[in-house]
Amino acid sequence: MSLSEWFTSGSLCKRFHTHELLYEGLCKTDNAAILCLQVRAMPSVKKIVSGYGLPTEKADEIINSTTLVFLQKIESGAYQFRGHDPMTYFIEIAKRQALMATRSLKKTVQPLEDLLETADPDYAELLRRQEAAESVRFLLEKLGQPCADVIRLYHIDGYSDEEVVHQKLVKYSTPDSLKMKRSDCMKKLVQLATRWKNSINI
Amino acid sequence: MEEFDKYLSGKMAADDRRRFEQKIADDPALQTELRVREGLRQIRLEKRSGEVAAARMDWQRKRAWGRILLGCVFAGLVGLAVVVWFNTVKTPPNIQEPVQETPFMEPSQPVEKEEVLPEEKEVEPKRQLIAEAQPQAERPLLRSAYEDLDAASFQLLDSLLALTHKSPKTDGNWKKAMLLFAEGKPMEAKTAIFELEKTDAAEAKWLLSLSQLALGKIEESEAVFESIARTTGHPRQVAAKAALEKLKE
Repeated sequence: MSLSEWFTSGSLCKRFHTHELLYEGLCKTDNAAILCLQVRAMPSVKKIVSGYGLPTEKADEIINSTTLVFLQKIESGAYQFRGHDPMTYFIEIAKRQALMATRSLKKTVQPLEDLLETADPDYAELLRRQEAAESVRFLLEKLGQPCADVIRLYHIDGYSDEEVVHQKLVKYSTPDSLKMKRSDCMKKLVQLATRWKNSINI
Repeated sequence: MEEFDKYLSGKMAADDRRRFEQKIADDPALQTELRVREGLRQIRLEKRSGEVAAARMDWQRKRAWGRILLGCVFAGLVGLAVVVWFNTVKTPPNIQEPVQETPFMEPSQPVEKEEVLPEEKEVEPKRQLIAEAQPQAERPLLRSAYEDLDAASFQLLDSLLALTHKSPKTDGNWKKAMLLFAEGKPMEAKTAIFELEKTDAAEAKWLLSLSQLALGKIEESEAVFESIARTTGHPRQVAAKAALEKLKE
């Protein structure tokens, strides 16, 4: 990394010099695109954080949670590109995340129903998904091999069936056999989840 | 499976979406599967987010170091600029000779202890030497050898000789003249000065003005100083101007 790269986000965002390219990168959950967005948004997020009177260390936390909400919005199709800078939307989410962070820091005596009314739907959705993720992590451990790997490689690590077979990451020698196995494994995981449903609240 | 992917990625048509949501609402197993798939997607996003957060921390650390480095470079440049500015302002531009630490007198010369002051200051601006001659500074010139000279003239002569010595010449006659000044023999120094004129007329003129001053001939000395001060490019031009100012005081 050159000296100039230390000071500007220019080189980080070189590949994403238009809003559309950045959006496309974000749709593919390209790490470089996410980093570009975060670095560009960082000064604004820091201002928001200090504006809400939160400690400066919170900025990183806010950026991380905002990224999760933002990527989820893109993935679910809730956010679609209409020519605007994706950072604008990112900052809007960050504002709400910061607001929720201030609320979670305050010791309140408000009744629960009031809190629910003021809760941000994105924030609530993020918490719900994080809980689901925790449960699935637990279930994957219980599922055992090779199913855990077969599911992880495709759904979490983002490998295609061809890549998995080509790189011999599992014992299945064709994409079709791998696909079938994954389908079986998914059924097992859902069955396991159903059995554990009450105890782990999935 | 494809239906779930379409539904979760928002690619399902509105009608199909409503139908699928109804199907999920009626089937607890599908509800569980939906939650599992959402969980898997969330894990993937968290994993990506974690990777990016690590990359961002790395970038921030490098940038912080870069800023420190830039700060050091900037501070160094500012320091250098201050030193250059200080030297430019305080040192007369036309005196280029290197400043050397050489004894004013030959080492063999006997010197009275109480009249010998600590070593010359390393780099004292020449103009300041003349303007603010300090009695406590080390001067090997003996006051007793110039007892006929008034205190102000002696002080001026003293500082001018110290200044002269800061730009030493290798010529033997120059050294001889300086030695004779130190011994309180300005008249004898004139002989060496006339010899010096053959090789270094400019310096000889300067020493002549000093000898006139040492002999108490202030007007003659002033005339020579004025002549030097008018000569453009004379190595002692600035010093001569300063000496004139001091004499007028």
